[in-house]
Amino acid sequence: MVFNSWVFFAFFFVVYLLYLPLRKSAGNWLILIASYVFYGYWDVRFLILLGGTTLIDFVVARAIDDSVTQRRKKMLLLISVVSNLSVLGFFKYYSFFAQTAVDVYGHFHRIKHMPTIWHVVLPVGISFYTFQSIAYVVDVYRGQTRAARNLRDFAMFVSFFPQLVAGPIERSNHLLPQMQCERVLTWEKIGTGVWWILQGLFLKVVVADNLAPFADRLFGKPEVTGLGVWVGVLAFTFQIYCDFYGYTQIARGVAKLMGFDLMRNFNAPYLSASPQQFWARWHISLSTWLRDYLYIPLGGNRGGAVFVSRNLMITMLLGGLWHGARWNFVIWGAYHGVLLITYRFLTPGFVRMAATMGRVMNGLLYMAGLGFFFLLTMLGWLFFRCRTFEDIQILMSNAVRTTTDVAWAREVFWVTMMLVTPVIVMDVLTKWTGRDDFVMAWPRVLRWGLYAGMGVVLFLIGNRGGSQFIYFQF
Amino acid sequence: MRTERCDSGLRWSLFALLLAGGAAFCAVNQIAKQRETYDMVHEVAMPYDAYGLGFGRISAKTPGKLRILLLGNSACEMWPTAHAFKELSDKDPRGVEIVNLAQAGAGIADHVVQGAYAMAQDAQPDMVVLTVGSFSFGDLGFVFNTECESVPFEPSVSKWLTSDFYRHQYDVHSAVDAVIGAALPLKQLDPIIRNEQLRNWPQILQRRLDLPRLNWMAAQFDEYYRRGSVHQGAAWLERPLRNDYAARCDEILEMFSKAHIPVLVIREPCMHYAMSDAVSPYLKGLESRWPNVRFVDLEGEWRQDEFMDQIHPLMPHAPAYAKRQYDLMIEQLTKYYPAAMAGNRS
Repeated sequence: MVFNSWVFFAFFFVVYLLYLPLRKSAGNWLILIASYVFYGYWDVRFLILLGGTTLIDFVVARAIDDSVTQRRKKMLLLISVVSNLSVLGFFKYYSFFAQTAVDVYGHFHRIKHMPTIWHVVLPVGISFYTFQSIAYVVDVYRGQTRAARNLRDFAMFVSFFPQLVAGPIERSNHLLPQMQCERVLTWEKIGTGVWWILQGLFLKVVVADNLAPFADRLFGKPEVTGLGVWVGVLAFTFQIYCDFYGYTQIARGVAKLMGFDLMRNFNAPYLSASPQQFWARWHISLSTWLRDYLYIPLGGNRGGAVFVSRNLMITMLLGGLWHGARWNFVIWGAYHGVLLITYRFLTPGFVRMAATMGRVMNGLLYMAGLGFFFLLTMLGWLFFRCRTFEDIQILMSNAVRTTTDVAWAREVFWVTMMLVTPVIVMDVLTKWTGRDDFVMAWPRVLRWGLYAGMGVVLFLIGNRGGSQFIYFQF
Repeated sequence: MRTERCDSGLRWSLFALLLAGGAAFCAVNQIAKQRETYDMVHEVAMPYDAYGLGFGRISAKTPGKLRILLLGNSACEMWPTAHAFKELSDKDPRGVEIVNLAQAGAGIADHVVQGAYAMAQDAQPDMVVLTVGSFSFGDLGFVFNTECESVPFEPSVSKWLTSDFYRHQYDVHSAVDAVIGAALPLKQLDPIIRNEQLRNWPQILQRRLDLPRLNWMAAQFDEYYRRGSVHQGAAWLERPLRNDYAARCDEILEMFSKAHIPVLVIREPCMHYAMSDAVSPYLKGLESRWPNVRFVDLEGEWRQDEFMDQIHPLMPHAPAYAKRQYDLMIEQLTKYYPAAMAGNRS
């Protein structure tokens, strides 16, 4: 049940109508049931995993909370982390590692016919809710949050349908308290929720889905050469952003309508002049998760350059692998690790250089930084989208060829520009105002005019296929 | 003591607003459906292929005329053939009218829906013609199956269909989708309206933005016959393939047998058949199983160079192609209604 479908529209309409008159307790029951229906609609079998994860972490967290000795707490934490990662590892990485093992064995033993491995179906959203649940148990262990005493509220926290399948990966001390107390609705919240939903739908069905055919052609059959490769990658660069950002905004909007506040997941990431800025603005809920539960426990910024570089690289590699069990994600993670490490070493030089230059030159340098880092980001998406090493090699060699299908490249470029211009304007306004509900500050006439305009565009050129969100596969 | 929540006024206002909005939306849906409804008897063929089925109204039979209900696929729906059928029946002094429900990409399961829809509309046919072609049964892996999924969930239609039909044609997801489509006709109208709106847009936008996607065949029809189509071919492949052609075909024959309506089953004269060897004996055995059924096999009657794609006759051959089938229809009508046919002629 994807957000951009009639089924979800009908589902949410009914749930919301029922939800409005209910008080907290009954409202929570309704949301919990709705969340399980929402998730079970994909595949009823997935509910066992969701329920299992919920139950284990609820019991373990309570036990940690009640434990007196640190040793016992640590043991319980280990049980939770191991069980969560085992489930995640099995469903997400079994096929990858099994296939790699078979390939390596076959390579060294010169076997022509590889044994067939058992392919496991990946439950949608498993990476998201598993990480959310792990973070909760770690927070309880660290004493940063109290263990939930009510299974219903905790189950709702893990399975909350707006953010269940693709985040944002929420923190227990942010979302759980909202579930434990009465939600207060205001017209302002309703307005913001509606805007986010509209914005999300626009980003997904108008921009991302209309850019998808370009990216599909480029990455599907690597026959495009020269400039065509770069404009195709440009199309994918915005497709993945608008797809994921669109999903997040709809999720936040739906939650907001019910009185819940979900964290921001994006903050104009393509207006970043450095990898550090980018990771502070792209998939914020994952990058902060990796920072808090992986990078800092590894040692973080403490220690020498080699030690910090190691921490950065491990974090980014695992961040890449989180996206899926494929080598291209590992390469993408490593690539961003290298960018972060390089930038870290170059930063002192940049700071010294900036100090010697005037404001105008600094501004120009910043703009150059934006452009340069955007190109580096695009290159990263090329690694991300290719499925195999071979595809990466072919595309990279095609990208430096001088022959180009000019007509195709021109068409992709102009359509991409036409579609992403409103996105860039939205991002600039978001950055400028510091809020992604900036339209709420506009005069009512202007705001409704914008809504109407977006509605017309959605109706005319919005994709109706109910296409999946890219991040559902992670 | 329970205290009133501080936002309860807002919640109830919003509740009422949503309820009113929902009711208004449902009303808009019904109005839109009424506005798009057309009289199928006066149409040469059904507009908008499968999307058009739910919007066709079959008016009462013209007094003094015998009505043929034509269930078929693109071979009978495409413009020159459909036009020839219409012309032949209009000019026929014996008083015949054809309600052509044929739609591009329709397979045997769609013909069940076409039949049930006609019965739900009280079409009162004097004879049913079921034309089956290359991919109607498709038991070799590819079967025609269209997107008229919502029509079977309209209450008036559903009573003509069997539970077996629903079990075989739908899974939970497609059934939920279809129920929503039946409740909200705008879901079905959406591609039709957008197709109409966007046809005049610049080519670059038509190609690149999300127009209702034409399949290769619909696009070819559009180019060749200059007739709009919004059929989405991809859906053919996305539907589960069930090798239950016999059950579906039996349902059609049972439906009309109960109503004592004769059925003429024609195997279209196309060049390429995607049916297994098991289909032919099944078709040939129909007459022995159903007293009201006649089967005519026209396979191989035409040369390959008379077809544009082995299935659809080229423009110059379409009138003769239609005439051949029309003659068969008249032959059957004369057999079942000799007095009426003779009376009308005089």
